[in-house]
Amino acid sequence: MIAEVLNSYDLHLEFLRRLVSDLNDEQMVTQPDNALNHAAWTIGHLIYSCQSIGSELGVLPWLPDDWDKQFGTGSTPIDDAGKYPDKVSLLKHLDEAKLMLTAGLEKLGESGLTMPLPDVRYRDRFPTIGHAVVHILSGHTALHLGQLTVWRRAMRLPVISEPLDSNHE
Amino acid sequence: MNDLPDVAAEVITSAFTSFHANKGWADKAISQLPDDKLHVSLDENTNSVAVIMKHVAGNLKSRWTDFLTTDGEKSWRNRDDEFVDSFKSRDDLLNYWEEGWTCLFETLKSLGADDFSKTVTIRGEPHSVPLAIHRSLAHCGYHIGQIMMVARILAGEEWDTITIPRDGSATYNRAVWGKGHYKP
Repeated sequence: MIAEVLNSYDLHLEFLRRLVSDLNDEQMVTQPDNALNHAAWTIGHLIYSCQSIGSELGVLPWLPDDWDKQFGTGSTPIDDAGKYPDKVSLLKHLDEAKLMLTAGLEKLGESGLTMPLPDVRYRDRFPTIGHAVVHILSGHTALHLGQLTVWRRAMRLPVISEPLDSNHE
Repeated sequence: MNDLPDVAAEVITSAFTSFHANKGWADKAISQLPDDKLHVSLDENTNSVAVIMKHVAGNLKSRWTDFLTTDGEKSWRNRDDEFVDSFKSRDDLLNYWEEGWTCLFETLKSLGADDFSKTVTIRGEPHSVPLAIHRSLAHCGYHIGQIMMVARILAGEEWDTITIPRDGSATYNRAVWGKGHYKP
C-alpha cells in the first residue's frame, strides 16, 4: 500500500513541476479573476500538508514556524511575490517534504497504517493513519493539482497535459 | 502474524474515505452554482462543471461496474460523448453524477481481503487492485479540484468558502501545528 501511495504521489509531483515549469516568481503569485489559490500557495500548502500528516507518523516538524500562517488550511493567498519563497525554494521544500514523509512511512511499515490516528479529534473522519495518508498524498494532492490547471487557464497560460491523458481516463 | 487482511481492508477503506471526502467538496461547490452556470466554460480549453461531472460519472461507471471480472473500459462506454454537454436539467445531471459515485462506492464496499491480490485490466493493461483504486482516486481528485476552482471563479462574490474560512485558520493552526493534528 505504501508503494502505491508513494507512486501516486510521485506522479502528482511530476505533474506539479510541469504545471509551474514555465512560471516566473511574479506569475507564481498572480490571482486572475477569482482564482485565488495561486501556484506558490498551492505548493506551500502541499508542503504544509506533508508536515501535518508527518506529525501523525511521528516525524518531527521541520518547516519554519511561520509556514502554517502562510500555507495552512484556510490561510489566504496574496499576490505579493515578496511575501513568498521563490519557486526554486518552494520546489526544494517540496522535495524535502517528500523525503521526510517517505522516511516516516518506511519506518512505520505497512501494518502501521492500520493503527488508529494519533489525533483522536479526527478519528471520526480518518480512523487510521492509513486513511489520512491516502487522502493527503493522493486525493487531496490531486484536488489541488486540478485547481492549479484551472488557475493556469485563468492565467491564459498554455494547457499542460496531465499524466492521465495518456490513459484517456 | 499475517497482516494482509488488515492492510487489504485499509487499502479499500482509506480510499473510500478519500473518495467520499473529495466528493463532498465537489457537491458543496456544485450546489453554489445556479443551473445556467453549471454549463459555462471559462474558455475553449476548459470544460464546464456539467461536462466534468458527466465525464467523472461516465468514467466511474465504466471502471467500477463488474470491477473484478471485466475490463475497466467497457464496450458500452462512449467517452467522447462525456464531453458533450447534453444534460439540460440539473436533476438529470445530478442523477447521472450520483449513479457514477454509487457504482464506485458499492463496489468498494463489496471488496474483501481475498480480492486484494487480484489483477484487473483497464484497456487490457493489468493493474493490481490497489493500483486501480489509486488510479481512480487520482483521476477523480484531479477533476474535483477543477470543479471547485471553476465554480469558485464563476460564483464570484457569491462564493461561500467551503473549507475553513479564509483567515479563519490562524487559531486552528496555532492549536494543531506540529502536535500531531491533521485536517485537510
